[in-house]
Amino acid sequence: MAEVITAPKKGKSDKPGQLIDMSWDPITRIVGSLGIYTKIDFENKEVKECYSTSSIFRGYSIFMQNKDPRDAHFITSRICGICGDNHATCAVYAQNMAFGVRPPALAEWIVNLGEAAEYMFDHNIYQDNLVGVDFCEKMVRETNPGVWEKAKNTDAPNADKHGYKKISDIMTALNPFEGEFYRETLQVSRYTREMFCLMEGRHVHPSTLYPGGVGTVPSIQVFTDYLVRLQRYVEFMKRCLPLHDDLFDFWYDALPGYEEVGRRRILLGCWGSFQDPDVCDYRYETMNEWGNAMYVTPGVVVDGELVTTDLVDINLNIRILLGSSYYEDWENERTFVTHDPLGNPVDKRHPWNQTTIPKPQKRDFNNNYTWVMSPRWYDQRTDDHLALDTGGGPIARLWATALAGKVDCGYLKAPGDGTVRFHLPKTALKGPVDFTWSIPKWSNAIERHRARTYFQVYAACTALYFMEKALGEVYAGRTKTFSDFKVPEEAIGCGFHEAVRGVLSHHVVIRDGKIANYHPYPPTPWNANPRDVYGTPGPYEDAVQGTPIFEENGPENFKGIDIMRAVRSFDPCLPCGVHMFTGEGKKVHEVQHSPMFGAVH
Amino acid sequence: MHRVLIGTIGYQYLRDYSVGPMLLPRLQAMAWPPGVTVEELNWGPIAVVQNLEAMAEPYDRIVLLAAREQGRAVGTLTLRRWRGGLPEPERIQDRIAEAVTGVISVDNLLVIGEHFGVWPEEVFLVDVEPGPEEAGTTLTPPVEAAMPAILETVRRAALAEAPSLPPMEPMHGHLLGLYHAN
Repeated sequence: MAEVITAPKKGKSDKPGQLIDMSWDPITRIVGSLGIYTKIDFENKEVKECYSTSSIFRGYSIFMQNKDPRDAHFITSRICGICGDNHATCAVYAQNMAFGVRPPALAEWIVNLGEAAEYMFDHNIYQDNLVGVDFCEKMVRETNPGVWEKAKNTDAPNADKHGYKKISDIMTALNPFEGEFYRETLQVSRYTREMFCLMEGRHVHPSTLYPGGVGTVPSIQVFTDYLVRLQRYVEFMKRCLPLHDDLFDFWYDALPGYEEVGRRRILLGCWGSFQDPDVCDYRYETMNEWGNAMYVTPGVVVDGELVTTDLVDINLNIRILLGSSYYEDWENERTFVTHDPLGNPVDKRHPWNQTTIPKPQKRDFNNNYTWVMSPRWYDQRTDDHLALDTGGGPIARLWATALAGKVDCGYLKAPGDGTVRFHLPKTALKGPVDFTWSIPKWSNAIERHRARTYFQVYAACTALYFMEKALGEVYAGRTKTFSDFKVPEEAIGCGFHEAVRGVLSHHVVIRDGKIANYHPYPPTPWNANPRDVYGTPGPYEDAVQGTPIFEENGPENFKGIDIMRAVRSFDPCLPCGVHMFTGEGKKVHEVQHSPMFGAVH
Repeated sequence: MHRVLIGTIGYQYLRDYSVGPMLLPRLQAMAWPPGVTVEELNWGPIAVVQNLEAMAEPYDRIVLLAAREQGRAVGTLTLRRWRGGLPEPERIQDRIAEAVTGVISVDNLLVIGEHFGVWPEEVFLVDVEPGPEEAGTTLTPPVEAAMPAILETVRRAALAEAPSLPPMEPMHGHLLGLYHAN
């Protein structure tokens, strides 16, 4: 008989409850390592405070000074070992603007196909070889045995689509190494990576991607090889999406109140993805038009309202605040760009004008405690500096696209009614299937995870369309894949893209033919930043603070799985550390968390 | 033909921690006999495993070059031989989790490769003790001074008959710590 699991009661007592110190590993072994420190009220089953830190300075903005602007995409690709191609692509977009070059249509379709493959690859491996482990049989047995018992007695509503009769069967299939689905998705990562390599030469640092176009040889065979793999992926997603829907729906059912885990105010940013070469000329003056033609619509969503889809608007209102970070202010440093090409004033705190001045110091949670600055989006309507998050990428992309209602490419349509509708055509063993993503009630851990699976379908649908467009160019004999350009002595540029896990921008200033200033802003700084000068916490901090604890283990065996699910829902680029403090309470004991099964004493 | 893969591992622009990628062009420029491939292996242990699995003709020997903090004097060079062994499954999944989230680590590569059974009998690691972890495109003087020895050690490890190689420190997967080897 399933155990009845009640929702945690928030604010039950003001007294400090039983408290525990914990650390999630790894925390220091990686470049730019993340840590999240929390104060948890154990008696009331709630995280009271959270601080997000990064312990290592990277300083790409400093490396880039005086470099040849043509090298920007090669160098910035190395920022990350997993989304290097997203950086390269975004850098190329900024280069194209600065150099005044418009690639041939075929080059854009090839880049789009490469980036779609990257989304398919990365979301797949992250979702089912990492996130899935947080929901697998072994983890659930250890952290919520009551949920496991319930799962054994719960039919999977979509069993006919994915083949797992009970929810517990899905959980078992997600067990690391032995789980059937875990092993299958590991193989999916292989052919999706191959798809990427067919278009961009090498994963994750592309070898055939340049400003002005690509070096990919556009043969029929290259596209056919991609399409064969894409069809396999489409067939896989026809099972994968219903499987995840069953799993995540069950979670709400099994643990009433779970919507509060990782929940925060709806403050989402999406910088758009997939250029339409018929519209995109990379001129700043027309950025609003070509931004709105992207196949993922850029947008800022505040409390469920779409504030803007205009990339010029998005660009000009980015503010980099020092927050609680280890940097000197640059107020008295050089201003590189006073006005944009449309004559709009550019703020001193905009990336075009940022100067990175590191100031190492002791970590102090009452003052400065991280190497991450606080990117904010200035809402002119309210005079607020909004701590937008990316929700790990997909939820923001889907939300902005659904509200904007601008995308329609046959396999995918956002009709403007709060949905995104997908049509997966017939594949080898399955007939055509339609799916619909609807704007959820919450921006929380479960919906971020769910959106990731839906965006895998999104990427597949757009890839089918891009394939048709690319082959159309080849069949028409338009096989040129690059345009010539010259590097100007003076120029500015900006690129807007979506890294796998969310917003990505690159801002470049060229003086005397060299890079004078360059600032990449990937999603993790948007998500993992600290309290800003106004005291506003960053998104991780905000999402973890107030998160209820559903785990059934007592303090002695506490794993912190609910917090890990909340943190992982943002798809942190780097493995994340979470420390739990007793605040002023008594330290009970210290626990090291394993990303797999939780605590190791 | 004896097939050898020389692979460099490490982040870019991290001074001594980037000794692998920084020496890659030098290694590629060296004269190698047929059958020797020099490659960057930073693109993820899962991908490396899958590529090795897909090879029609496997490598006979793999030589890896990386910086590893082991508490030795900066610039110290150690030649190790992978002897297999695995940590418990939880620790293997930890390393897969890191691989999936972009961490570049030769220890992870060795453990994940062992788990999936892709290593040939001869897997050697040339590991260099790095100086402080800091951003930059230059090596510290001790590692800079060790460069000729590093290149020569890699060359010998790739080409010499195993019995004629200097004594090698054994490395076992089940003895690797979460943070450091040993």
